[in-house]
Amino acid sequence: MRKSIALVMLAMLAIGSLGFIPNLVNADTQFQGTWVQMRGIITQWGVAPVFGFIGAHAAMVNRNGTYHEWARVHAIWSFEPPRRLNCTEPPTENVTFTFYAAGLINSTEISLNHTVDNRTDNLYISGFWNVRNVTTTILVYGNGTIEVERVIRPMVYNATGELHAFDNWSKFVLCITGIPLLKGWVRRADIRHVEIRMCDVDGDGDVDLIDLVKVAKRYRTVPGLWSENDYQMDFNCNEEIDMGDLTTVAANMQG
Amino acid sequence: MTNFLFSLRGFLLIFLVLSIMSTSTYSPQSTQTTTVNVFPSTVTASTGQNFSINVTISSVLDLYAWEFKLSWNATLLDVVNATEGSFLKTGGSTFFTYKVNATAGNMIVVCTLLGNIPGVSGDGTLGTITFYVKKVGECPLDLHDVILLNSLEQPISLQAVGGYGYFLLHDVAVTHVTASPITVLPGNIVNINVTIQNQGGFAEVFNVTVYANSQVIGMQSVSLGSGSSTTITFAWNTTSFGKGDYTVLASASVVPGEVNTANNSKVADSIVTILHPGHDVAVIGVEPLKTIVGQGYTTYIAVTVKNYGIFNETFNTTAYVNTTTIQTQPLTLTSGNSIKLTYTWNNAGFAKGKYTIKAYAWPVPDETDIEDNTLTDGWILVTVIGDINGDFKVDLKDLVLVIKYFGSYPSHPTKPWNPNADINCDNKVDIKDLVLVIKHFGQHYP
Repeated sequence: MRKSIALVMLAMLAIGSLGFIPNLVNADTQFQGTWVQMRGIITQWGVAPVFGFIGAHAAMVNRNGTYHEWARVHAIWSFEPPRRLNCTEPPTENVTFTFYAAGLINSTEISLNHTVDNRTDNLYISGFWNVRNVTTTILVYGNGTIEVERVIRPMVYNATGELHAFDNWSKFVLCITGIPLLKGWVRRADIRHVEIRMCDVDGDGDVDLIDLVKVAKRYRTVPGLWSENDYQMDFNCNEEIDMGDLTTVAANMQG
Repeated sequence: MTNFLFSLRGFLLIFLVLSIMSTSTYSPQSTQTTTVNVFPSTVTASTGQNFSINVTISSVLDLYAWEFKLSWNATLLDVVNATEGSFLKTGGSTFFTYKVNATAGNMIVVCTLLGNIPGVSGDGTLGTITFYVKKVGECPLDLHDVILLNSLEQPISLQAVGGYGYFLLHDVAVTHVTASPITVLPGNIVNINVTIQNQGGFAEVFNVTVYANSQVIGMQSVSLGSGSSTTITFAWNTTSFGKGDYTVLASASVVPGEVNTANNSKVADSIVTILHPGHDVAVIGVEPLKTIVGQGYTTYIAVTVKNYGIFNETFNTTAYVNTTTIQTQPLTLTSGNSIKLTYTWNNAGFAKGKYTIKAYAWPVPDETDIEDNTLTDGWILVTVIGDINGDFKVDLKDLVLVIKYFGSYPSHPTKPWNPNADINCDNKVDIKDLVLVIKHFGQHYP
């Protein structure tokens, strides 16, 4: 009797939790290829310790006999303590926060298991990069209102550079001409033969209303501000979740 | 045993709390079912016009974002645009977008609030879709795959109800116009019967106006149900109208949304002639059979004369080229009647050049209005034999023309008729005309 009750309760719990199971990934059968998504923590810039994030998303696809490849790499890092980039609480006093952002603007080569001079990279992405210095000033007024001022200074523009992930997807370096080497740890890497959609924020295989909402809830947020800015949702790499990012998600939603 | 019971109770209690929590976070709704509807649920619209539907929501709690798909028959409708409704905007700034697949006849419309803010509750309009009706027909406006998310990014259960569209024509037409009598004296009444039909799918109220030439005779308002027809009569008092021929035209005003307006007007079967209360003949038409004639060939001129008087008349009519008389023909015409006379002109002996043509009806006894007894209208070009385009030379252009019209004759079922290509005036363009062009090829004047 007790066993039956327990089984019924377990079954009810399982049914109740079904709503939270993500949708099955829809494999796009029209084209074949490899999709890679890598996320990492930036720990060093030149010889200086820093804290930051890097996200890379690449596709190497054979579509109807034609080979296509594209990549998006976005990195932000700062000399500030990690809590600044991770902050979730609104500031109570004026804060000035400086960080750096690098974005791949045009890729020239994307490959997995790329070997040069007896060294093999698990992932190699070369191309042209922009690097910017962003200073955010958060002004907190007496009446509780908050104003955000940002000063963006280009550091390098259209510079050559490469991202290397190596040591069995555990480490990476990002070399961009004109700035010191960035190093760090790979936190997660996915290599799939079904499409990893660019705006699939929740990773359920579809770009849908939930992804749009996740980006919408972070609208107008910037790194270092309290409202859970997520650099991975900054699809246009302008260090702000804006209309361009919402439009990108909407354009990628399955109609 | 007590411990066991305690632990079982405890487990049941925890389970109950967890179950309630999981269901309450999953669907935090009121007892009323949230519905998303196409409004109005039934649409009647006219072809060639736009119409709009709203997608409305009722009894929703904490709506943060929505998405719906709408499908229709793409052969009947095109989407003009989609606009965001006012509902979600009441909660703050929004992002709204839509994507249309016009070929398949469907669209996805998406909207979300922006920022970490609560959702909106209540009833309102999510969006407005405007369509253009291309054709007559009917189809569902199918609302499907509706997703509502609350501010916790969780789905809100709902009922979606689509709509249905009937797409009809606005079309009124004048189908028949008669005038009686058709020959009158000034001051007489002419009755004009106008039959109009509502060929569309809507009841219509419109005006019907009758004109004599361009003068308004009268106007009446008509109310007609879909598919019905009626005949209305206009009494035309001709008192203020002068002597002459009048074309009677009835015209129905264009009703809103009407696209086919070609059938809104119709001319009466017969013209109406208002006579002169006395003796009066006139030339009302002078027309050459062809305008370009080779020197030495014969052509014809049609002259139409009419008796506008109230008496039968016998008189002469003369046709001229420039000032040279071609021929005079005697004739007798009863009151109100007309006749077309044919005059033959052999231009042998006439110099090459342009000749105006004229006809003159000799005045009858006691005729006072003789101004219309003469009519000069049109010209004939006397040129080199084989010159078809009238440039006074026979060249490749003329050869092309004779080839183009080769095999044609008046009232040919398919080939157009160009009388100037019929060089020898035998009412057909054939090998003889081609030979004439070749024979005279290269000749020119001067």
